[in-house]
Amino acid sequence: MKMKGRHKVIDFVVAILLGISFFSFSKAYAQEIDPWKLLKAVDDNLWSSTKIISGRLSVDNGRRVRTMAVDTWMEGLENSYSFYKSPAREKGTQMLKIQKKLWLYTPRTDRKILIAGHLLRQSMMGSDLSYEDMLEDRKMSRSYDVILEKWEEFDGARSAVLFLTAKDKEITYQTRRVWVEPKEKIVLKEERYAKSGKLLKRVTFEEYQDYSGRLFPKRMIFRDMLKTDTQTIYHFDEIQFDKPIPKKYFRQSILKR
Amino acid sequence: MIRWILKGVLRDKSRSLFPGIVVCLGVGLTIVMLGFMDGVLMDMVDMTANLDTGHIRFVNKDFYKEEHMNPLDRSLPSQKETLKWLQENSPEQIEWVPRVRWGAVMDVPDENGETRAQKPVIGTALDLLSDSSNEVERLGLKKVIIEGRAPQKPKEILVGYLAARELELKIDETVTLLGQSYDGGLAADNYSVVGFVRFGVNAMDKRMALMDITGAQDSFYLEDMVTDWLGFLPRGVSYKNYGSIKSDLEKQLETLKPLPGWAEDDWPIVKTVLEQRNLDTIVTTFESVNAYVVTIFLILMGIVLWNAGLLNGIYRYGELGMRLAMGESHGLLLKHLMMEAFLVGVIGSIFGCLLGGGFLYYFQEYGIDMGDKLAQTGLMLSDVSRARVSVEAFVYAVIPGVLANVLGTLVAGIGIFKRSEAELFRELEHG
Repeated sequence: MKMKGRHKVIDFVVAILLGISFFSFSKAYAQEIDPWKLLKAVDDNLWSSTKIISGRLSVDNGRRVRTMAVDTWMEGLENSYSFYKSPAREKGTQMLKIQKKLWLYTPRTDRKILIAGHLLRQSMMGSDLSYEDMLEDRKMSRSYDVILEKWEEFDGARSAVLFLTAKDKEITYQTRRVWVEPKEKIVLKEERYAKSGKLLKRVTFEEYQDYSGRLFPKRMIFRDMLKTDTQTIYHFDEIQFDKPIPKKYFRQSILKR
Repeated sequence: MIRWILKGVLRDKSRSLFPGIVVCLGVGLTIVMLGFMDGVLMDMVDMTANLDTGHIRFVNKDFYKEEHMNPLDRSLPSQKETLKWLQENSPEQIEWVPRVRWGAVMDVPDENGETRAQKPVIGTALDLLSDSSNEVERLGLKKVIIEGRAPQKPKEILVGYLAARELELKIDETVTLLGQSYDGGLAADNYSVVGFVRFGVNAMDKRMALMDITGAQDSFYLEDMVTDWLGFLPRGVSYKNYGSIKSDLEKQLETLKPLPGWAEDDWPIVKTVLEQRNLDTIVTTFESVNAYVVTIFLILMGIVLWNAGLLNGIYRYGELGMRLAMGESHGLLLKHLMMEAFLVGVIGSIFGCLLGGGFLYYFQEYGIDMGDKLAQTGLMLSDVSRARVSVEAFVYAVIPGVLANVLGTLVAGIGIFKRSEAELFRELEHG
């Protein structure tokens, strides 16, 4: 009887010790991660004062895939300019964003058309990206409050799931959920939500590569969750960071044949 | 016997004139009322069909599911082959026409070519330029264009007058349409505004634009593709037949193999106009009102004719008494009276048909101009309300007309059975 009672006490003590050690370990691991610092590190890696991107947009609308080659020049948060090189029908189409206004130029109409307000949230050239998605380069750590929601396995990597809440009510995606690999400080997946909490976009980042000391994905896959069976892959063929861009790229006079 | 009764009816006008007039007026009025209601209903059906759905619509299933978004990527390819199949597999009386429903942002430039105003518009592209096309007449374009003219070139556009007012458009001004092409790409093209239209339906006048189908096919890259095939039936074909025409076409569809150019998930479906825009509810309501009208007329005519029968009985009191006294049975006497009533009903109905039919034809051809009153209801209704001459109106009027006279006489004739021969002899002696 005495032996049985002693075993019970030992089991109880072991269980308590295991519980305490597990709790302390989790707490220590969680304390290692400061979600805001992690998000800032992600921003620092992805964000630069200028970017020049040569890429391709492959739009799969569920029936056929259409690929457009596009060069983009981005300066800070405010300015960006895109020039579509192919296919023939889209060749010469240009988009210029200055602050919150975006102009679209098509050679067929030979006109600058202003895209503003809610139109910025419309699908850009039939893709899963909106005009806003394509030309906006927002620093998430500045625009959102962040908390560490949980840890989760994603694509074989243990990732921190950060939950972001917009500081400004004007921001289209009021909340975001970002899967970050903490060692490399890279984003693996992102979900963008409307104010109502409805999932609008899902973005996955694939095949990170070193571009002059920065890790940048080779492609991003956008899915408009309001559509069915569609996806748009943005392939980054060439990317340059912090390279000076002439001012003419961000003037309306560039929009011509 | 019938000839004898007929002679009596025609020679003794006091027997037949009043009931005949009542039947004639009742039948005539019923014909006009039913024909007019039927005409207004058919007008609504036709207007919805002409502007929007056709009487029979042949459309890609996926397009129909999301038609509020005008998904051009769900258009039906192989325009020529599809038309050929439709013509070979549907009744000859159906005229099939291609249409393209599109949605785009209409952008109006200022003098420097920069955006001055813009607004989302929805539009229909239809064959406005072919000599063989009836679309200009079908839409009544000459009447609905309140300023400017109909398109004469593919890149000319008509705009709803309320939309034009909002965008401060002027005739001959150039606007840019910005939308999506068939394959989801960017579609942007310039159009010249040649006229403003007023359909009298607020939603259309505020957001609608019309263009030729070849212009839309070029702008939205819809080569050999359309979003809809609309089938139009002659006005004489009642909406009650649309369902069977649809069923026949659906049976033919079962044997159809996908046409060249169709994608794997392209499959057309058939819809009647009644299955769209909530028309079936409106039609059911109209039919109920029609049934009430017929019932009320039957009851009213029955009461009047019963009264006429009673008066007739009093007027022919002596004659009926004499016939009973001479040995004619009560039943035979009533049978003769009912045959008389039937003949009066038939004669009255013939005159009623001529009278009502004449008015109905007039209202069908010339109509009644209701001005803005109907347009303000928000329903797709023409300003001029027209009646419709149909066999149904005559049948629904004549049967109650004849029945009411016979029933009225039957009720009035009950009195005959209450009179005994002994009483009759006493009356005769006193008389």
